[in-house]
This record gives sequence, structure tokens and C-alpha cells, in this order.
Amino acid sequence: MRRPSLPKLRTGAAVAALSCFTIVTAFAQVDSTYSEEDEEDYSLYDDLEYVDEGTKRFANAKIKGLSPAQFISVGYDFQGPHQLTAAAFGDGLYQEETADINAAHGLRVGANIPVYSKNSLIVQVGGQFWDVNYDIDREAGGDNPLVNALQNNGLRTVGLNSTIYKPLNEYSFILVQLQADMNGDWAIPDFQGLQYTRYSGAALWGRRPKDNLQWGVGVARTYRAGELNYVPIVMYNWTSLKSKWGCEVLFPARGHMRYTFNPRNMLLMGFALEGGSYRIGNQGNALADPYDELEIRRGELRFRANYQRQLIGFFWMSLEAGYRVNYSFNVDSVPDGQDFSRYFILDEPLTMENALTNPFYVNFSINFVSP
Amino acid sequence: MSRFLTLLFVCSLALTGFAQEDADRLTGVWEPSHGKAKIKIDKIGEKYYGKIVWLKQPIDPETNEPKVDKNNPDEKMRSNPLRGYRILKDFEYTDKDVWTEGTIYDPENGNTYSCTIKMTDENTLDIRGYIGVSTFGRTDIWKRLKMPSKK
Amino acid sequence: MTRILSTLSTALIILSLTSCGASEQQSSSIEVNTTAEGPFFMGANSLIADYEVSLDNLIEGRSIKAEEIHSIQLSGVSVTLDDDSLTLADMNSVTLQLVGKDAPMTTVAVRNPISEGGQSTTLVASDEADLTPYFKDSKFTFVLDLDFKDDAYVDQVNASVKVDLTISLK
Repeated sequence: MRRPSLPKLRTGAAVAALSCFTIVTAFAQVDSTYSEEDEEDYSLYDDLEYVDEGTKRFANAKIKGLSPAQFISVGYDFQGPHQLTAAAFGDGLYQEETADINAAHGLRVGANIPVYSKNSLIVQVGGQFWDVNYDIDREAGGDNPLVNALQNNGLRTVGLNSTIYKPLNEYSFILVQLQADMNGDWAIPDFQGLQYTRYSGAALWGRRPKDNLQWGVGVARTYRAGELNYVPIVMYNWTSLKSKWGCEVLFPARGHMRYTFNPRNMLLMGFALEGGSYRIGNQGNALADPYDELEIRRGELRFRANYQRQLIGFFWMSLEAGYRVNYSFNVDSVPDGQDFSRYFILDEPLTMENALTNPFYVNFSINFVSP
Repeated sequence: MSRFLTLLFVCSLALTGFAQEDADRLTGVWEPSHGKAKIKIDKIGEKYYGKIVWLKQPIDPETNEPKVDKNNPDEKMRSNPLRGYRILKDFEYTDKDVWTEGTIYDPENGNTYSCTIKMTDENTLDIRGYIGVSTFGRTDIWKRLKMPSKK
Repeated sequence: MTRILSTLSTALIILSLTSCGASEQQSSSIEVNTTAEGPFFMGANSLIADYEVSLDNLIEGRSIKAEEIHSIQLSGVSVTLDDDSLTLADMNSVTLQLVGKDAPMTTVAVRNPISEGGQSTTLVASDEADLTPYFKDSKFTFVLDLDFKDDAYVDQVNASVKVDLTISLK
């Protein structure tokens, strides 16, 4: 069926209001949309000039083929059976105990909200809540305070973070990340004091020379290995020209090879280093002075395979399985939360030197993503 | 009274005409900030559509053929050529230099995002693609290019 | 008791399956003449036609109501150039899109590249596109993009588009 021709429209308009110029204009504009659309010569667009002035080009925060960034994530993490040998400490006050951990599991919720997002600057603010509950079988008479804390309270993390991406020009950028975490065996609503907040951050300068490559170098203040560390960091994100293979590395925090079945379906294989410093809150005054200000320096390496796929629209699922290798589950005494780094205080002794065996683990999450 | 009504009628039509002119300022050729494509915005019916008319790299290095929409979620539509592809669709003019109700398509990953266009000046567009609510989005700045003259 | 529960659950499953799905399928075809005025330059040129929806005539010998439609899908699309001065050998590709007042523009069929000459070709039709929203409106528009290989100085190009539909009724 053909649309009415222009003369017919014009006649109709003229009948409605003979001398009304605006009607003709309005109809003529509607009609012109068809005729404007009709002709195209692509070669005409090769060398067009800006009408006003061109925009400044900035390096895009992403490269092609990256796994999707997560705006909101709700997941569950489950570590299988393993064993903890909690050391004796306090000059014979607290005895060593070996406990069988049947499972360490809990909810993981995270959010990263872009509060300002233009091509010249991106500012994201986020939060996270991680919960670890311990299902423990203990020896008769076992009363080590660390095992007590894990069994009775578990460990929790609540944190705020902000990521700032500032492209300097078409190829260079700066990335700054700040994070504040409250980690411990606290329970809602009995939070621990703000003096126990642990601050970490990273600053990185990088280059994005091509659409499929992004790299950067920087420095981080981090608790990923358990205790406070200052480490150099290296970012390297790359995607092959055919977009099938790639890597996503932010060393030492994580490094993955990526295989993309299609843009809605991908597999990542690699490692992640995760951890933090968790305060034992001395609930019920079970710990005597000067052993009542303890922090678990939890750091673990996760060798993993992570399968991500689109469920519907921008909702994706992530199924991860791997082997968790303990790096540190030691305990330091940190009076009043005044933390220290062994880079600067080399001879600070550990309060507890614990041993933790390594289990397999799985993690499943549903994520609201930006592909 | 009838003269007054006629005047009112004519004025309202005049306003409609001006609104139409306001809305049509969106048409033209625009360049996204990355400079790797040029998009021509046209009007079909009462809505605005933007199609790719120029690509910096028109040839797919994988196939050595002109690029096609290979990431389209609809497998049968993946042979659609990218040059000529309408990535902006269904925009309607509201007022105050804003066009809404449209979508923007990213051929890199085959996703379609909700989109709002704001004309910050005659030759600059803020194109905000977002997911669900405007918060989950990103704004890109597009600049107007001179319309080509036909050979 | 177990038998009663088993029978009941089977009945419920069958009931839920039949209540969700379509109960009847019909075939139909519509044909529109798209047109654009020349001259035509290299690249995509849009031929356009409005289509007035008439559910009374969509299925031969039967009038249906919008509420009865479960889904409308494409089973085939063919395009015929109605002008002897041009052939499909002059085109790189042909793409068909639909757009309605309240329904977004959707690409529903494509042929790229065009290997044959002549006046007619069949397009690869989407089997995911649901056309129901277009048919629930009073009219919608066919936008047929012909990607010309070179400039063509003709006054007008007409192309008829034949769309075969599979209509699932509730």
C-alpha cells in the first residue's frame, strides 16, 4: 500500500486553512523525511568537516571483548571441607586446636553505580557485603579463641569503594580506586568501631593504543594478601582480532585468559587473590589483655574457571569453580586498630601462625551487567 | 468569537510548525567522540533514526569483507551490512532540546540500550545510552558535520 | 492417593502447557508496494510503504480480533523490483525493516550479499521477530533498504514486498 502523495496532502491542508503557511510547512516537513531518506552516497561522507569544532577524543574505559562490568551482583560462595590448625598463643594461655571445617560459605552482594559517566570522566561508587559462615567439627575440649570466633560468629565484610577513570587523551588514562572496608566477626547491629576500618587503594597510569589492547602500571595499598602491603600493579587487557581469545589481568589481584564463545557467552580461566584483615571482636571478653585486639590476616589464591553467560537482557549468570589455596590465615595483634605494614616494621612477630588446608570451591552469582 | 477561534487555530498550527522545526534540528550527519563512524540522522514518519554512513575501518579483518552485524542476537540477521545500519532508532522529540523513547545499538556486542539525546548546542549532542534507568549509563558527545553536497 | 496425585499433576501440567501456548496456526501473506523517488546514489536507499492493518482480511475467510493473536512470525520474505531499468545485480544488499507508531523499528529480513541478478529475490527472514505489536496497531510502515552499488539516475524505484506469515491464535 502506498502512502498518500504529497499533492494530496497539500490539497487537504489547503482545504483546512487556505492561507495558513504553517500547515504547508508542517506537512512539507513530514513529507521531506521520506525523500531525505531516499538517497545515499557513502563516498560523500569520507571527508566531512565539523560545522563548529570537533570534540576532544578520549581513551575509552573498555576495550572490545572484555567480560561485562557488573553493576549489581548477588551471589553465593561455597568452600568445601578443609582443616584449620589454629596455633597456640598467649604464653600457654590459649592452646592449639585442629578443627575440621565442613564448609565455609556465604552471601556475596556487590554494587557499582556510575554516578558520573561521560567520555571525559567516569566516577563509580559502590558497596559490598560478604558473609562467611563456618560449619566446624571440633575436637572435644577445643577452646581456641580463633576457632570459637569462626564457629560462633563467622566473618563479615562491608565496604564502600569508588573508582575514578580519567582519560587524559585519546590513548592515555589514569585509574584511581579507593576502598574502605569493615571486616571482622561482627554481627548486625553490633558493628565494630570505625577505627578498625581498613583503607586500600590503587592508582594506575595506562595506555589504550588500540581497541583491543589496554595496559597500565601503578601502585596499590592492599590487604589482598591478608596484611597491609604496598605493591606495584600491572594491568593488561587484550582481545584477539577475531575476538575469540583474550586476557584480563590486574596483577597481582587477578589474571585470566578469556575464551569468548560469543559476546553473550564466555569462559575465563586464571587466578584471583582475595583477602582482608578481619578483626576478632572479643565477644564475651573471652580474650585477655594484651591478646584482645586480634586481626585475622586472611589472604587466599583462587585458581578458577569462571563461566559467564547472558540470561536475559542485561542479567547474566556467573558460575565459578576452582581450588582455593591458602596464602595466609595468620593473626596479628593490632591494638586500637593502628595497623602496620611489615615493609616498615620488619620484626613485628605474628601472634598466631595458623595452617589452613586447601579446598575446592564454587561460586554462583546473578549479575546486572554492562556488557 | 469565530475570528478569535480562527486566530487560536492558526497560532496553534504555527506553534506546531515551530516545534517541528525544533525537532528536525536533530537531522544531519554526526560524529561520535571516538571518530570511528559517522551517523546520519533522518526522520521516518514522526520518529528519528540514525544510520552508519561511514566507518573508519569498513572491512572486517577476519573476513576481508565489508563489516556485517555479526554480533546480532538474532542469528539470521547477522549478514546485515553495518554500513547503512540504523543504530539509533525510534526517537521522539519531547521538548527543551531532548529526544527520548529511542534506542542505541552497539554492534561490538549486539546489545541495544535505551537512549536519550540532548542537544546542548546546535552542533553538539549528548547521547546517553543506558540500561533500565538513566543511572546505569554513559554519555557520549557527538559533533555535527557539514552535510555533504551531492555530486 | 498416589494415583490421584499423579493424575492431578499430569492434568495440571497439560492444562498449563495448553493455556500458555497457541492452539491454532494459520498462514497468511501480505504484499505491499514500496517506493522512493530518485535519483539514487551509491549506498542504502530507503523505499517506504505504509500498511493499513485489517485483521478482518488477514486470514482468508475469517475475521480475527487482536486479542486472539498469540504471535505472528515470518515464514518468508521476497522482494521484486517493479522496474526493468534496474536489477538486483545493481544492489549489494536488501534489508527489510518494520516500524509502527508504538512499535519500535525492527530488522526482520536481509539478503547480503546478493549473488543473483534478475528482479526477484528471497530474503533471509528472522525467526525471532514477533510481528504481533505491528498488527495490533492500525497501521505500520515497511522500510526496504536497497544498498546500491553505484549511482542510478532513475526517477522512481518501486519494489513489491511479499511477506509470508505464520499466525498463531490463542
